[in-house]
Amino acid sequence: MSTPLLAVEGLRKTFGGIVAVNGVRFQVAPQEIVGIIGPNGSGKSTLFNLISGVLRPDAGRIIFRGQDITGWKPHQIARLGIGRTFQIPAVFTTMTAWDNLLTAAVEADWAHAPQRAEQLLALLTLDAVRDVRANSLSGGQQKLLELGRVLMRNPTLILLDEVTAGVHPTLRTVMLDVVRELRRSGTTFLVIEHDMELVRTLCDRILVMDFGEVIASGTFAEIAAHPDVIEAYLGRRVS
Amino acid sequence: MTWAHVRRGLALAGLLVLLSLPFWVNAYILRIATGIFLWAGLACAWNIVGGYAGYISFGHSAFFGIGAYAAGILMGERFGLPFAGALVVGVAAAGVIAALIGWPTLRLRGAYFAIATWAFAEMVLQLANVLRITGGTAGLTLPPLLDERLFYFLMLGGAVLTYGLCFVLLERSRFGYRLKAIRDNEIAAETLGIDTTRVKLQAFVLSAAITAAFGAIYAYWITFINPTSVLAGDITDQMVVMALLGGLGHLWGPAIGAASMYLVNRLFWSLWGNTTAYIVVLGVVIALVVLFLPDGLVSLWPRTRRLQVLRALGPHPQQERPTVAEEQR
Repeated sequence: MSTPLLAVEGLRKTFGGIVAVNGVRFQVAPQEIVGIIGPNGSGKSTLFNLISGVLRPDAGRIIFRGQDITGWKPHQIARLGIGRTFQIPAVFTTMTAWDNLLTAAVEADWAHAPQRAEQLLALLTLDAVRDVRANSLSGGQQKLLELGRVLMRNPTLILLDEVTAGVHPTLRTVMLDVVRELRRSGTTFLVIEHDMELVRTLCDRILVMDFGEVIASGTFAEIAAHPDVIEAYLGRRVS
Repeated sequence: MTWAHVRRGLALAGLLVLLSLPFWVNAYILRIATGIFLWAGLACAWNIVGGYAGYISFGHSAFFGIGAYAAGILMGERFGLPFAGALVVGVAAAGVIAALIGWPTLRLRGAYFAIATWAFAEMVLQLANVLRITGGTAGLTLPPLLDERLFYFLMLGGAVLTYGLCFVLLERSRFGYRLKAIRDNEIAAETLGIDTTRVKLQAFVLSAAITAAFGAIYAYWITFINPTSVLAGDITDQMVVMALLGGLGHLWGPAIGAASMYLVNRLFWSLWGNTTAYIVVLGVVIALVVLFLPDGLVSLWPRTRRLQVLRALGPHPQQERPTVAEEQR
């Protein structure tokens, strides 16, 4: 692998007695799309919270673009070029869709924010709800809006946490096209997904998590044949 | 003639009325008008932190009192400063103290922040009761300047400056977007690059400084201050309720809330000689507003954007493990 864009080493996070993330290590190369799958509670979202600085790890290091960002605040990490969405959409509820997009650019390219917001509303088919307050939007529209907010900042690495959940199939295709298009122009993605078909068609490489650990990684065909993965998803064969 | 012309005409007429008011109304009406601008300014200052950033402060009486006591102490015999000097010192002192208090307390959210700021205000109140420099419970007397017109214009000017500043900062600049983002979802704001700690502190200091400025003008106007008159918690309560009644997080909400509440207050006073009934009515009004008019009186105006700040201030279901996340900061 060439110089990694993101390197995670020995990452560990506990909540009381629960070990949510336990010694996770992996690397992501520039322009890769890496999928993260695993059962509920396997530590995927906690991993995102650690990388984006929302949570501070108990142990381990996070290296982004050659810089050790472990323990940095979320806004510092964001400014360095990592964008993320949340599993439960974290839109700005009292603001309109339009203001949500503009707000995302207050610490970025503010001068071109209206132009960019205009493009993204069209791209994500949110034109019609431009002046609608975000908490009146449907769950799927909130997901789209959150993606739009991340794209306002042009991050180098984007963490998508179940971004297509609850999104209409047509719009889901739109979202995936956007992701592929951005990757071609240089963006890297880490994607948490439960939809295996989507993982198979979108991701170059997949990490499988269970009980806070990465139990397998590789292409879709490789992990699908991995005995630990089968066990994590289906349980042990009764002999 | 378009609607814009009509509006411009009305605004101009309103301005003329306000500027000429002291020359054609009696002293009683003038004092009421002065009081309205005082409270409109205070409620607006509180709204910066409470309505825009979503941090409900119950400690603003402390900043009002700090401004008032700065005037009382510095304009007294010992220092003999002119009013302008005392005002500047009071505003600066409130700003510095707000920064010191805000640094630890702005990490708390919801009820915890409200309780911490309330405790701070109680502390300042008790200090003023026992310190020699504040005159203790006996209070301080300021050099009297019996010029009601001047105080009317001071309060009017203060209110105009406050609303002008808030309009530019909160409705027409990035600072306003940052504050609203913090109110709606602080973690999301952080992950979009907003330094929430810094922005909250800036808002708190600004809010405290404006509150102190009005405290200083008030002390000079009333010429006698003691801990109960400028540091009591009901001063904060008034600011909170005025902003709430007018419309939390709306620029003009506090002005509308302040004007209507102050007028009702004076009316009850003139009818019954005390304001007990007013407080009872107030309680009912607050309950009704929270239940049926969450955007306050301002939302009765057609085409007002419904913000539903009250709902945004509730627990944040959209934040994953919020307690853990906050523990980590």
